[in-house]
Amino acid sequence: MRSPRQQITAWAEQGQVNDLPQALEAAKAYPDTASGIRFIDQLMLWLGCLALGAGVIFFIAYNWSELGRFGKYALVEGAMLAAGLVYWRLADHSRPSVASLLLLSLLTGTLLALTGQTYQTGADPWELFAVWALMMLPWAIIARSSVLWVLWAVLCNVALLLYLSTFGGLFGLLFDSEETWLWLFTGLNSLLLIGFEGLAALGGRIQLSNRLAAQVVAIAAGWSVSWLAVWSIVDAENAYGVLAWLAWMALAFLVYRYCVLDLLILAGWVLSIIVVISAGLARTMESALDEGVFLLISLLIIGVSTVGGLWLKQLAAQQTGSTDDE
Amino acid sequence: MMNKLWLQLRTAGHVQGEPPATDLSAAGPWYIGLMQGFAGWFAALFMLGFVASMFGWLFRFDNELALLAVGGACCAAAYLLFRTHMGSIFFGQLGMAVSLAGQMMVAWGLLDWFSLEGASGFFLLAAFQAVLTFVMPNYLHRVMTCWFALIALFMALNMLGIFGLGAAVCAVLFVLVWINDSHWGRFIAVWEPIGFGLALALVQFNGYLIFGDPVFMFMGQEVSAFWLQWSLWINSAMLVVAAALLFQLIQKRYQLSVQTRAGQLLIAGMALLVLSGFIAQGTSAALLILLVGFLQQRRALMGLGALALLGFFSWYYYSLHATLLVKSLILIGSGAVLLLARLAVGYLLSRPFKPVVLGIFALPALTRGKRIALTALLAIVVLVNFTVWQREALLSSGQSVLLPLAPVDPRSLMQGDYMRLRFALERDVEKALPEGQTEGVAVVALDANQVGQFVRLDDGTVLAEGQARLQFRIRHGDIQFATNAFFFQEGEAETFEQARFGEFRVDDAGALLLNTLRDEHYQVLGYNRP
Repeated sequence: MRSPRQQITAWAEQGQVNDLPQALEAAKAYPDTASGIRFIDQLMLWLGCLALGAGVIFFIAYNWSELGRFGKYALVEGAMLAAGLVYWRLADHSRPSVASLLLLSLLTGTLLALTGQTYQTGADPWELFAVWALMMLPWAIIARSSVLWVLWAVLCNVALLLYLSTFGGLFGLLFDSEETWLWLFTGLNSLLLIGFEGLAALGGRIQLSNRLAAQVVAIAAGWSVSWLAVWSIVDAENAYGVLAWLAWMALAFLVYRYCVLDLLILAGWVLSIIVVISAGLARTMESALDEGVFLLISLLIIGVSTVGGLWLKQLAAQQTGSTDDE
Repeated sequence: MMNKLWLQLRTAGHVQGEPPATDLSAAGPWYIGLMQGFAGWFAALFMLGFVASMFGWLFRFDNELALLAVGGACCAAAYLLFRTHMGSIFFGQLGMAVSLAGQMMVAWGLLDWFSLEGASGFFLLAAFQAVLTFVMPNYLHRVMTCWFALIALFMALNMLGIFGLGAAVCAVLFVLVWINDSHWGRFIAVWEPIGFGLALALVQFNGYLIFGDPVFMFMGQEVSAFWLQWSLWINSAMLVVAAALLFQLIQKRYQLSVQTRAGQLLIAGMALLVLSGFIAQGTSAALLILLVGFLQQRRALMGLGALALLGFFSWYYYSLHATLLVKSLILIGSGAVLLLARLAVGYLLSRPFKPVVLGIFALPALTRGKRIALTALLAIVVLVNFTVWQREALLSSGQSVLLPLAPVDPRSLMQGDYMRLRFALERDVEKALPEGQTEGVAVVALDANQVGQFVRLDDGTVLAEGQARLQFRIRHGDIQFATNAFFFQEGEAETFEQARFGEFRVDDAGALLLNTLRDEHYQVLGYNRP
């Protein structure tokens, strides 16, 4: 939806507005004092919590031998309990409440890292992130915040990445190709996407306030599946990558064009088509890869991005048009 | 259905008649532009490939003039494409691709001609990009050329020995452009992209996000003496100017006098913003972008500022200008100050923010959500403490097993505050190990001194008297017993050159932790202190 300022400046560009600064002021297009104070308040809140969390992490990483191992545990667990106390006092689902849960999640990771560092059992790095993700799951569900869900999704991806790099060369054919990694990342992020969309669809108690989590995970999945297609085209061992890409794109289109109109994901969708088609063309005309082919691909990219951009803007206009008139 | 906003404006006399139809060529949401930008770059690369293969001779030596001419011609062609088909997305994309290819050729030509050593090539490039920014009637194109112009300009200054000016100057320009946004009038299509280009350059010059450390290394240039002396002052002054300009805008818009509390708080806030830049490079820039984004209602700017702040945290971790301890204390201190300041501001401005300080022991009733969250917290703490207790118990009362150390390349032995270990047992295990296993359990027989000798791989049979199990993992072709590293305090390295045995504490299942290192007489040299 376009803000009043955007609408007024758009009209001004078309020469319809007599005095732009006055018009903007009349329409209160700029944030008023109350929202200004709210903004500063939130800024200090989030920044403060992040700084505290990061500070504790840095402190533990410094590995101050003077403190002794139990001192460090006391510090981190003390901080966690204090944060828990603050969380108790805050109103549910308010921004400060979510910020305190974020702090708790960060401190949990610190605690796990401290344990792994102090008692070297030789556990693999991915285990830390997997356990961390598991431990912060209840908070992510309760907070109903995209920020926590995005953090959780990042932890899952990092755990997978570390798992693959630990066992990458071991299982022979199973995990040794980058292609397999791409399959797994596509799978993981698509599952997460279904999960987040499911949460949004269920609504009610577990509803998220914005679509950030779903969008981030969709971009990650789209990225992996596009690379999968490109890999499959370039390596030409088999066409499963391209088939998976086609299926994923078809499904994504149906869902994000007709069920839930999400233009960000659709923009990524267009870009994916551009990349894969270019790769496909470059491959098929490989032997004739001379000047003409370059120009052809270039023009094709322009063409697809134009059509795509036009279509997206139309959709955007539809979206704003329907809400502008409210 | 008439637009409410239009009605309101019409009543106030700012507009007349009917609202115009929605203009499709207007810049849509930022991600559409981003997609088109990527596609434009992609297309430009292929187009450059086309030019390179058709006119390969252009790119060889002594043809810079021809290269410049062709590049300039491409940009001119792009201009015509833009001009004659304003509002067409297809020609917008085409023009952008052609222009980018042309710009790459011009850059190549200029830098080839004037060499990468001197500043003149970069100055000319900056001037060229600046001209393009004002002339080319395409939004995305203007953003990019503005960014490139700034990069080229500060590269040129780098060549003259003036480093790091970019961040400060961009900060001032950025604020200057944006606080005047209501005065852009018809030229909004010129100034807004410049504003975004400035924001991008500002982030980049502060050197983090995806660019990591500042991109423009000191390419063997000497820092000019003048600059060495004055750089800190000049940069700080510019930052103060930027903050002052912003302060002025806020003051005017919200009618805040410096006599009122709010006005004084604002000054304090601006001072903090400037100060934060000294503690950690880039924070003040990120905060500036965030603030301007909020004040001028540009969500793209707010997003950029927020991302830049996050990037700052990761950069700060790796920066070398202070130890982690100092940095962590700074962060904890800042965090505490921010949270306390938040409460203070609430009080001072008499806004209804619930104070946490008063009535700290008055705990509200538990909702179901809170109950679950707090239970989870307790469970985590209990679980972790239990694990710690288990491990400590193992270290103090587990079965002691000594394993002889195998010789290690002495050069890689000591690594700062830990020591790499290899055990003779590894060879025995390796011989007995079947293919493809990633972990297992070895059985050793203990002699009178608790030294372990390899017996067999564990197959579940009951252990005889004086035998113990040891778990191991295989990672990257190496056999690991718990860990291959022994940690000690700084300065103790020499003691451990006598080490001949590593002492583990094991339990019945074979879980093990490295406890001490022993010398040839089995005496304790030191405890493992990770």
